[in-house]
Amino acid sequence: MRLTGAALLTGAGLMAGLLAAGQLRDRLRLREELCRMLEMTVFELDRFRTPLPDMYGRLAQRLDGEAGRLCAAMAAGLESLGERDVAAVWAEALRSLPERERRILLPLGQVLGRYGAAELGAAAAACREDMERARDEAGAELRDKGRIYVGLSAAGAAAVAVLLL
Amino acid sequence: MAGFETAAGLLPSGLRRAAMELAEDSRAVCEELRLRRGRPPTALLEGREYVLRAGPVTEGDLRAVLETASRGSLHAAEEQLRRGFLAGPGGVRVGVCGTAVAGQAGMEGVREVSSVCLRIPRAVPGCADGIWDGLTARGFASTLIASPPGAGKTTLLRELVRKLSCSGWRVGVADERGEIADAWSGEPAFDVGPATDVMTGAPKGQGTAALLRAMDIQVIAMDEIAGEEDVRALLEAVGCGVKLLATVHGERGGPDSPACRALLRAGAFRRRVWVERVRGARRYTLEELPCA
Repeated sequence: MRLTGAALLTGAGLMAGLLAAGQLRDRLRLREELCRMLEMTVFELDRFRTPLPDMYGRLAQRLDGEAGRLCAAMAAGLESLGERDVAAVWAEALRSLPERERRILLPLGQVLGRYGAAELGAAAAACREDMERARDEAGAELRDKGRIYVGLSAAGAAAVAVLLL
Repeated sequence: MAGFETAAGLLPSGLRRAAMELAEDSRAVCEELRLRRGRPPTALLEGREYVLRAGPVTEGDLRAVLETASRGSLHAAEEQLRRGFLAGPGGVRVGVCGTAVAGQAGMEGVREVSSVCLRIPRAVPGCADGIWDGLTARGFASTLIASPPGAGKTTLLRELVRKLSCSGWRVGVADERGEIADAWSGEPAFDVGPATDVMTGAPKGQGTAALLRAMDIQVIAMDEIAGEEDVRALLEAVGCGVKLLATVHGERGGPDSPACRALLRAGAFRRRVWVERVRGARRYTLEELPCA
């Protein structure tokens, strides 16, 4: 009985550590996707001056995960221009993102649709730089803390298990 | 969607409501919706401006119109704005006026927009029936359509393009502002005939050159000949044996514009159609031009 309890505790501890490390990995993946989206945005604006509905429609097909969903929401939202402005459509599309990512992307909405290609490209590039910094931070955090979370939680659970036994 | 509804759809909701309060028959003949900052919006009906029941137009209203007309993509319309307009959906032309940004190459854009004019295109099938026989007697010859602004040149041009195309001519349309065919999405929204190729968005001179080079056309059509580049392109087309169908601003009995004079002097046109508005109705007068 004690043995089973100890095994369960160790397993649970290990699982908690893995989940915490997984969250760090998910955050890194999300920021990588958003960096890719911004990189493609800058390219489309600089090279082709693509109209926003066409650009986001195209990006939605080429990007996975949350970035693809964000682009699809933008493409759909831009169909309702006249009812809402681009900044409102952008803010709505960002709603499901975590706070930090939303804070980085939100200012871009004040520029989208209102300025020339040069200003818009510069704003998207600045936004990309911020997101790349956030991505690098997430990468470093995963490296530094990911293994510690798993190791500590497994060790802690094992210690409790030893005490129980 | 009819032209009026398309144009009204570009307005912010308060102004749109005011525009949609116009009676059905007024909407059917409305030529333009005009927004001037600090003034109530107006609708141009048969040559006269009527004030719509709405408050004064704000800077935000004008910005919203441009944002909607450009599909949230002013960055993609910089070249058009440099020429003082924006091609909206459904062939609606959004004229833009304000403080010009001057650069070395001339006007580089407009900031502090003070007014916009939404011009509503209209297809009137059959409007050219009365002059068709005269235009095609002894075969179609290069034709100039002339009238003051807003008299219906583009409507007649579009109908003649359609009729020529249906009669077997290969027609190329240099549609700089998308008003003739509205083919921004690739497929013309207006019926311009089965044998018509449309080059949309390019400056007229460049569009004409591209059509001549690539499409082996027999008739080149363009709206509102204005500058030297247009004249050069049309003379190039005449030199290639291509017939012309073009419009120009002008008033019967008045002086011809410099571009028009240059083309008439070179004998580029054989016929001219004057478009006049008489008591709300359009009247076409066909004139044979002397050979150069």
